[in-house]
Amino acid sequence: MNKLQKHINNSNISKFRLVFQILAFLLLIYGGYLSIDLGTSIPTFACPYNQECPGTCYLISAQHQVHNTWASLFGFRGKALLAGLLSFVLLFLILNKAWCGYICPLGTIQDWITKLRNRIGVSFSRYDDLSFKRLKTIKYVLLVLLLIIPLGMSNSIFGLPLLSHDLSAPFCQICPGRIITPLFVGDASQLFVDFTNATTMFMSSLGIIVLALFIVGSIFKKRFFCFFCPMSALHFLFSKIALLRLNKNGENCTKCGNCYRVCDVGIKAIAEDIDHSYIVKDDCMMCLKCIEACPENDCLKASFLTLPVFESTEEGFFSRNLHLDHEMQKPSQKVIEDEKD
Amino acid sequence: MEKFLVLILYFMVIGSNFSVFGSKILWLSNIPPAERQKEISTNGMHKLSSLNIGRGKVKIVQWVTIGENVFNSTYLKNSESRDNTIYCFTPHGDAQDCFMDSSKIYQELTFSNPIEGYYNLYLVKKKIRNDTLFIRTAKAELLNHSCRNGHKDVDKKILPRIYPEVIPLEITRQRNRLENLHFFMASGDKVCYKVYKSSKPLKDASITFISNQGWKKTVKSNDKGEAVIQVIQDYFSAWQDIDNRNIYTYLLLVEYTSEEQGIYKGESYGHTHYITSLSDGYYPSKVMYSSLSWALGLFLLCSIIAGGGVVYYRKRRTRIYREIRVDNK
Repeated sequence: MNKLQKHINNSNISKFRLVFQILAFLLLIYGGYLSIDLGTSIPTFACPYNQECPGTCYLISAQHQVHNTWASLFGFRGKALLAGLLSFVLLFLILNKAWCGYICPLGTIQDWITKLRNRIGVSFSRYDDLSFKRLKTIKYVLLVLLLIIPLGMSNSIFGLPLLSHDLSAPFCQICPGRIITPLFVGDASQLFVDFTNATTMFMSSLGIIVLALFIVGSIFKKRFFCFFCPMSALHFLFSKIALLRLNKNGENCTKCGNCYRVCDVGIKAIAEDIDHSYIVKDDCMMCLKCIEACPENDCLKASFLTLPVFESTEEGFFSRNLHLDHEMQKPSQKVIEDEKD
Repeated sequence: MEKFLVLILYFMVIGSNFSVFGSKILWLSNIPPAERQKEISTNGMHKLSSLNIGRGKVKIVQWVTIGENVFNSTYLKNSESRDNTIYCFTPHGDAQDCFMDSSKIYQELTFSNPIEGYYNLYLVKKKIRNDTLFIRTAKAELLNHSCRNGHKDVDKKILPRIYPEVIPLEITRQRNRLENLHFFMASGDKVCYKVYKSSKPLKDASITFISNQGWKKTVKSNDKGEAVIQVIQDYFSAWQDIDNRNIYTYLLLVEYTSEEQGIYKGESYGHTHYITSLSDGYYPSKVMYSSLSWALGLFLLCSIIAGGGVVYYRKRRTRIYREIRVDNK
């Protein structure tokens, strides 16, 4: 067992992740060809607008389930809503936020854009502390809106008139996954501006604008969209009770900053926080690159039901040659430049 | 001699535009009469006419309609002949109750639809005239779906079903491979229909498509009993008047004459003539109200602005400071 654990700790989890992401991408984009059915509460962007997708992202189910009158929600429709939420939570608890880092097709596409950016030599950006704090709230705003708007279509909120049915599944209308994932099966039918009325025109145009920002943003910023993703916000509500956990032993941390430098989302707290054991933040996608880059023994550890899955070791750090890694050194220089500003 | 008579009868029927029934087609309508519109709401994604019966439960309602086409049809009143048989089948293929309320002005069929998928509703009228038994069947395939109920076992739920034991001449719309519970027909779509006579595919059956505005096209079924019809765009309203939420109704009519003999209500007949109608809805074509080129243009514009903005921001930050000399005098 110790040998196996040692082998895992010395392994390169980024390579494993790359393979896992490709397999998950194939499953969630083309799984329909194999008649696979994963249900309607998938805790990641399994977009049903792609006709070959074998499951349904929970956000679209939730938006439809809350699109009901109060009477229905507190009656039999409420049971469906609770059942959907329960299925989502049960699936989510297994992998925690690793759904984002290992399975999400939109995350994988952003990682591929990052690889392309590396190839063409464009440097990436990080947010400064103030922007980071301000921008991270957007995903919570989106989460609230995607639940309130469908409610407002069936119920008068604060005495206001009912919202237009053209706002149905509002987040899906602006989600880049709706347009991008069908493109992988040769379906461009979601790429349109709908001129039916002002609402459809606004929402469909907003969807196109978000798509453009998704592509351009991903070129200049790693995992650009994840920062604003309401699924990530929803994940965080249940993250503390998940089975897969990322813990930090603050006593062993030297605050070298390696974990922050490799973090695609740019979470500074992972390097600075030595007081809390559970280190998963709302923007974390549990890619576990921080563990890979940590040179200290028993400092960062991923565990499943208290069983260690992957932990930082000095031997592992040097066996992966990360201290010589060009990509690893490059961002650190950039960080120093940013911090001087 | 008998074949000759059948042939004459057939040409009489086709040539006189279904004149045996006074140019009338019997079909099931999802659109309520004006008198009922206040009480009727729409149910599910496919906007089936429904009656709220309390506690969040509804009953689906369809009206018996007769006319030359969708545009020129009238609702059959309860005071008119109600000599008919009603069949309703669930998406699982089980027979279920369906009622015609005699207290209402119009003949309306009401049934509950607790299961997701296609319900098949039939109304059959039989009549003997000129030694021929005419069997008129009005059919509707009514898809019940709400995303709130999930998307499990979609293939089973959308399966076209036939019931040869009660409906000898059947027509079904063939489902395409990517079809799901969100299926909507639209102008421009090519749709395949299949005709069955006593559960076997019927070759050379005459299938007539009648659009919402009355455009007609008749095709013959092939060896497999199938015929493909392209739904045309049959109206061209001003751009701002296009209502892509409006469902237009089309009718499909299939006819077949056989030499089946028998006795119906004590009266013997020498031939049987079947007419089955299938009514369904279609939306305006998406190209009428949405644009790919505008989307691509907007995408390019936003990409250039966003990309250019980031590049400009980065250049501005790395600009070398210039010395500014201030004259203190």
